[in-house]
Amino acid sequence: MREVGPGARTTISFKVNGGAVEVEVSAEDRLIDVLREGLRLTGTKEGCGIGECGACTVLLDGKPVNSCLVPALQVEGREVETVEGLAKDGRLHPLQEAFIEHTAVQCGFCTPGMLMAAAALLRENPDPTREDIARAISGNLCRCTGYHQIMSAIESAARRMRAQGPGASGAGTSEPPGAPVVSEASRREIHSRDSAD
Amino acid sequence: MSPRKLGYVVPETLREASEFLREHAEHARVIAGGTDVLVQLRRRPERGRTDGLRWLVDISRIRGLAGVSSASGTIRIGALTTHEEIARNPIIRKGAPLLAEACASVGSPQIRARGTIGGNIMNASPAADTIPALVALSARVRLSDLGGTRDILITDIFEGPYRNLAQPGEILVEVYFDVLPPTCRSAFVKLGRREALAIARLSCAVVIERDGAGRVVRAAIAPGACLPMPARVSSAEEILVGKVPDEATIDAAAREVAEEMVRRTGVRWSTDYKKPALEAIARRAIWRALGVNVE
Repeated sequence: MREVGPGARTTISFKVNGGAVEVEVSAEDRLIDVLREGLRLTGTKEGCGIGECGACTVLLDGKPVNSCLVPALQVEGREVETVEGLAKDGRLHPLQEAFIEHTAVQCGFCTPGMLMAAAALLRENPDPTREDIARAISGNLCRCTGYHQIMSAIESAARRMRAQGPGASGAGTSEPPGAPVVSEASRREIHSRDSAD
Repeated sequence: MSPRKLGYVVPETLREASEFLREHAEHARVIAGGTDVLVQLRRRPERGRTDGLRWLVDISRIRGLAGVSSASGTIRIGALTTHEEIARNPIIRKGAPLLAEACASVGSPQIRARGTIGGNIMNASPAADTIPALVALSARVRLSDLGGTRDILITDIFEGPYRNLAQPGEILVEVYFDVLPPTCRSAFVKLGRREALAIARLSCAVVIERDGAGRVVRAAIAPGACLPMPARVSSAEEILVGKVPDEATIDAAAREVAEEMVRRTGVRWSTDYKKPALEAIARRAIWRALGVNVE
């Protein structure tokens, strides 16, 4: 039986965006603390800290979860995917491209969580209805957009991913953790719209 | 999590978990999906749930506590089964559809992917979505401890809001109930402040069985988020039993649910709102359990 005493620290091993990591944690750390502070993966945002806003959504073994409500020690041996893992080989994920095209990003704080909730949806259901999309992002609050642009972006990304065929993007987790590599043009575009990092 | 210093243990067996829980009694608390415990740890110590807490006992790695099975007319749900798994499970959707509806209405996709039915029961929130459904199903829970297990009716596990009657060392391992026969229909109706991420302000779970002539032979009505303790409202059930329900009968049963709430809780500041709202929720749930969708 693993035991981590009050105030003690221990090392946990798990995968982030396909790469194996080891991080030192205390019993009180949450997954979001490990990601943002231990691994400097600051794409994941902390909003409410009590599981109501979805800003901190990441995928744990493929399922969207609030990383503010996952004890770090529960992640031992499991797979985590964060927004940093969406872009592949210097190309944004179709969802990220569609979010930019549809102005689905305003202040940007909800965006990483929205993207991860949407990525989980499209992996399970490549051809969602608007109703399916609304349900999939019902755990993610956005106070800027009114959601319509976000839903349109997800619909559009789904269309694009279906056209590109399976495995086109977002299905694998082979990249090591780190900041996404993006083209200069996309970088400027993201930068001009997202001031939340 | 919080400024307090907490320890964390990850037992691999029920025995290890029970031993640790016995040893640390009120200083230890079971955690599984964490969707209630981590929220309570972040808030100022309220309702005494986290006072003096020194240890979290993570039972999520104990084998054999997750999953749904059905045998000899009984459905068993392991304590670690998540709301998402229950909402999607074909055995539940066929044999206890009101529980699938209740689980589908919990929190958000993120919460449903993590929150467990065992946690929902043991956290004993008055607004827990699964509890009215389980009460209407006359579910029983199995508690495991070093000496063995004991099975009790779900309504006997609650001591009051956010308090359960498990002894130190006792761990909820499963909840089980009879499969609803094809002559039964059920419904769970919830009123929240909005569609998603809303805790139930009021809810109502209903199971109704009818004979070939359409007469009600059995009714179970369990309102949620409005009684001091989870319970059925037998006085409302009795209004339905033996009758082929018409609008007036259904209205009378729904009114009785609301009146019984007032009798059990007394008149409160919220009664002016809750009484007609519960009556409407109960009416909807009864109609739906008779196969009619009404708004």
